[in-house]
Amino acid sequence: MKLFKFPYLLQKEVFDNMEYQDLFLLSFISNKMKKTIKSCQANRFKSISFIRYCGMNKRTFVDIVAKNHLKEDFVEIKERDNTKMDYFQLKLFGKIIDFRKSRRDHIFEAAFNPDESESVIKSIHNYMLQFFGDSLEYIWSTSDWVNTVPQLQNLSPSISMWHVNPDLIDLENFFSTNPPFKMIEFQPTRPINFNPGSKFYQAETVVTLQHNNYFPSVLRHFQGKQAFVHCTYHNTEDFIEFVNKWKSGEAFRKLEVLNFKALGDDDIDHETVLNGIGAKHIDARKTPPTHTLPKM
Amino acid sequence: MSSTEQGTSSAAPAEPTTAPESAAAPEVPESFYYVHGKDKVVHKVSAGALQHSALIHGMISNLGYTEEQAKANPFPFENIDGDILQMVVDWCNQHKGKPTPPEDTNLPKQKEKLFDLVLAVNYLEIKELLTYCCKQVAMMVKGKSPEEIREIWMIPTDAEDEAAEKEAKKRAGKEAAGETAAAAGDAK
Repeated sequence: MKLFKFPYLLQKEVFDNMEYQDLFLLSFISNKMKKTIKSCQANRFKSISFIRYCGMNKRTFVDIVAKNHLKEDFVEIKERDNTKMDYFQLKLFGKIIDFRKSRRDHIFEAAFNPDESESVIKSIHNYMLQFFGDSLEYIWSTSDWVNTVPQLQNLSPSISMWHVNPDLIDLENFFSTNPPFKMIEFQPTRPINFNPGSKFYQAETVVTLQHNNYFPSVLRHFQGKQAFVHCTYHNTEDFIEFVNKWKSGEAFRKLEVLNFKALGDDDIDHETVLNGIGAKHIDARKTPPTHTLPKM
Repeated sequence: MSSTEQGTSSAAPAEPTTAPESAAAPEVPESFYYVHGKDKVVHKVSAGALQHSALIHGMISNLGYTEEQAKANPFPFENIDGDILQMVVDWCNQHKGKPTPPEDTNLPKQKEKLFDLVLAVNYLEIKELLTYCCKQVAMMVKGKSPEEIREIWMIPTDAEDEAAEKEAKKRAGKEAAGETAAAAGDAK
């Protein structure tokens, strides 16, 4: 069967029925094939919302999330498994990488030798940039706060740090050795103060879940756009102070969204909060008023 | 020329024992058309089954053939092998007036047959069957390495593509030179 004997629309129909991982493999067959895939799958590639790397340094799963929120497994990048040698080799940006299809779950795997993970991830990432396009969002999603995030073109890192004990890890150093995170999910076991210039505060979004009233320290010098605070216990005065600093322009000048949720029985005293922050009722039928931050 | 009687049902409906309360509209007798492929074997197919093919449906919609006229004028599809047309006719009969299922497992597994079927179905514009066939073609390479895919779909290497391109350019150059020489000869 000569696929290239099919009319273009038939080739497109065939490619439409293939998973991204198979299209990726197909692109290595020839330059003409790669060009054909990129041309007839351009609209499909446009429907990708982001490509996400999930995991730790030793094992990274890459999946592709479409704008309709459907997720497709793409490749697992893991340390070489020497018990099975059914790998085939592909050359990506000058680097030869071993790939195989897992017989167990049909996931496409790329293998690296110890200490080679970063260069393998980099080569795969560069190929993906070229294949899917560099206008897509590439997210590095991890819960590893020991190893640094690879610094790759167009890659936005995001980290989940649940139950992190600041006494056991030098968080200041961790954030200083990484690029600023797009999102940090943060649950410290005790209040923590970062340096005012810490890269922690440069995160675009911080989500913090806390059982105690640690949020004033966590967000003290926050320079990002969105903050989500979920507290089991909170102090109303701290919350009012935070909002008033934001409104006055004294701090949090880039903040656009603040979501504060009281969990458990410690409900918010609405009247005290609304009076304290000077909230006004907005008629939903009218254009909402704008708030301009005073120049500092 | 031989013929097969596909899609005909000779079972006569049982006579009703009591008259229905309200007389149902008399059923319009189903019309049939005839098609043949490269092997000239004629297949009798109902208009209902042929509705799957946008091409044939467009051809027959305003014909108003009588049974005799239809029999005397089978649609020739000389570009489709007889066994492939048979598969298409069988599929159309099987799915006549029924919603098409999401999967079809009865498609040929041999790649050359599937290739011919895809081309035939594309020509006859049978959308659902084309979708199944293309899915099947895609499934042929699922989980395969690039070299295995190259073998299955007979994809040339870059070097072969380059050589073919050079050859095509050379041929085009020769043809252009031939045309120029012929034009010069005509002018004389």
